[in-house]
Amino acid sequence: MSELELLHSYLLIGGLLFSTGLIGFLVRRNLIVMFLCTEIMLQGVSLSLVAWGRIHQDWGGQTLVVFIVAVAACEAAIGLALVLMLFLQSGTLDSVFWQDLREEGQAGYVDTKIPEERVEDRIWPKLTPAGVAPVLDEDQPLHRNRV
Amino acid sequence: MSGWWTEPLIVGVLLGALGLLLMLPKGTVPARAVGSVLGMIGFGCIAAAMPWSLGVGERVIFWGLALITLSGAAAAVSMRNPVYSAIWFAFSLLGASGLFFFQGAQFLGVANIVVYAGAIVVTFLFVLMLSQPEGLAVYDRMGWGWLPKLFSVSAGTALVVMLTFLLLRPPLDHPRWQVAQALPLLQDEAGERLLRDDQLVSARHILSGQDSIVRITLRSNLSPQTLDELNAQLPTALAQAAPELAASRVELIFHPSQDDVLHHEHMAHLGAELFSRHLLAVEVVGAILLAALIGAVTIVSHGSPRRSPTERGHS
Repeated sequence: MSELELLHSYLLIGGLLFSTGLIGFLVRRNLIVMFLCTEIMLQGVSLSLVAWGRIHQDWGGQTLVVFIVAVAACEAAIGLALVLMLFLQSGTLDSVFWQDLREEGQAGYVDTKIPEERVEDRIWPKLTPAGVAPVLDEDQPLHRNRV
Repeated sequence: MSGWWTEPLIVGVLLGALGLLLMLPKGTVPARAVGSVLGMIGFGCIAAAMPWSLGVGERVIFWGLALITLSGAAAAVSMRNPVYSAIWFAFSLLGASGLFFFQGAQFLGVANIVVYAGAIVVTFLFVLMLSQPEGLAVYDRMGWGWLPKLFSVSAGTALVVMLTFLLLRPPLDHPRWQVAQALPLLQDEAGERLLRDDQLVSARHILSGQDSIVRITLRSNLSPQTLDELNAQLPTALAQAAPELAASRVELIFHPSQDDVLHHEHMAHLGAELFSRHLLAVEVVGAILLAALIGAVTIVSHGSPRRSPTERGHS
C-alpha cells in the first residue's frame, strides 16, 4: 500500500501549500506579494499532479507540470512588468490604490486605524564603509520620498 | 462521521491554520513565535498521523522536505517585508524540488530550481528593489484588518479540511488498489513478501466476452520460482481482498513500458513523451513565451508615464 500512502501524503501537502497561497492572496495587500502567493498555489497544484502521474503510471502529470512552469514564467514576466508600471503611475504597491476600479455602488475600503510605526520597523542592514566617500550633491535627494 | 474533530489529521490542519492566523501581519507585532510553534505542532500531528510503510529513513526525508516547503510558504505569506517573502518563497521552492526528486520526477526537480528559484524569484526581487519604499509600508504592516483575515484563513482551512476528509475515506475500488491490498497476503514459506508495492506498474480489469481477466503489469522480471508461487497464491489472495474479482483469471505480465514514470532513463522518456504526444502543445508554449517576452517589453517601454510621446519619438 506504500504507493497509495505516498499519493495521500503528496495530496495533503499539495492541498496545504495551495491553501497557504490562497490565504496569502486574500490577506496581503502588496501587489507583488499577492503575485508571489499565486506562485505558491501553482507549486501546490504541481505537487499533486506529479503524485497522480505516479499512481496512474502516466507521463501526463509531469508533462503538465512542465507546461505550468513555462506558463508561470510568462505570467511572471507580464505580471511584474504590469506591477512595475502600476507602481510608476501610483507610487505605491498597495492594491487599495486601485479600488476605483470596483463595481459601482460598492463601498470603498478605508483604513480605519493606521498603526504607529515602531523603531524596529525602520532598521535596515548597514554595510561597512569601504573605498573613497563619494561627493554628495546637495540638490539630489538621497532617498526616494516615502510612499 | 462522529468524532471527526478528534482525527489527528484534522486537528493538525486546524492547529496549522491557527498558527498561520497568528503569524499573519497585523497592526501591532504579530505573535510569530507562538504562531510558528502552533504550526509546528499541527505539522507534527499530520506527519505522525499519515500512515507510512516505506521505512523510517524515507519517512524522515519526506516529512523533512514537506516541513521545508510548508514552513517556507507560511513564512513567505506572513513576512511583513516583501523581500523576505520572496526569499522564503525560494526556500520553499527548494523543499518542493526535493519532493519532486522524491517522486522520481528528476527533470521537474531541476527545472523547479533553475526556472523558479533561479529566474522567477530573481525577477521578483528585481521588481521589489525597483519599487520598495523606505521602511515598512503601512499596507504591509496591517493588511485588510482582522475580520477579512479571519474569513480568509477560515476559507482556506475549510478547503483543506474537506479535502482531508476524502483521504480518510476507504480507497476507491480501483483494481490497482485492490491488488495492492492483496499483496501483503502473498508470502513464501519464510514469511517474506513475494511482491512489493513498488514493483507493480498497473493492474487492469479486462472484460472480453465471457472472460474476466485481471492483468497485472510488473516493473521487474521475477525468478521462475517466485512467479510460480505468485501464480499459485494470487487468485485466493485477490479473492480475499476483493471478492468481486474472485471469478477472474489472473494474468501476470512483465513490461518495461515507456509509460513507467519510474523508468531509469527518466529524461529520455519524458522528452519522448513531450516531443511526440505533446509536440503541438510544446510549440504553443514556445509561442506564448515569445508573446509574453514581447508583451513585457511593450508594457514597460510604452506604458511608462515618465516619457511624453514627443520624447519617445526622438529616441
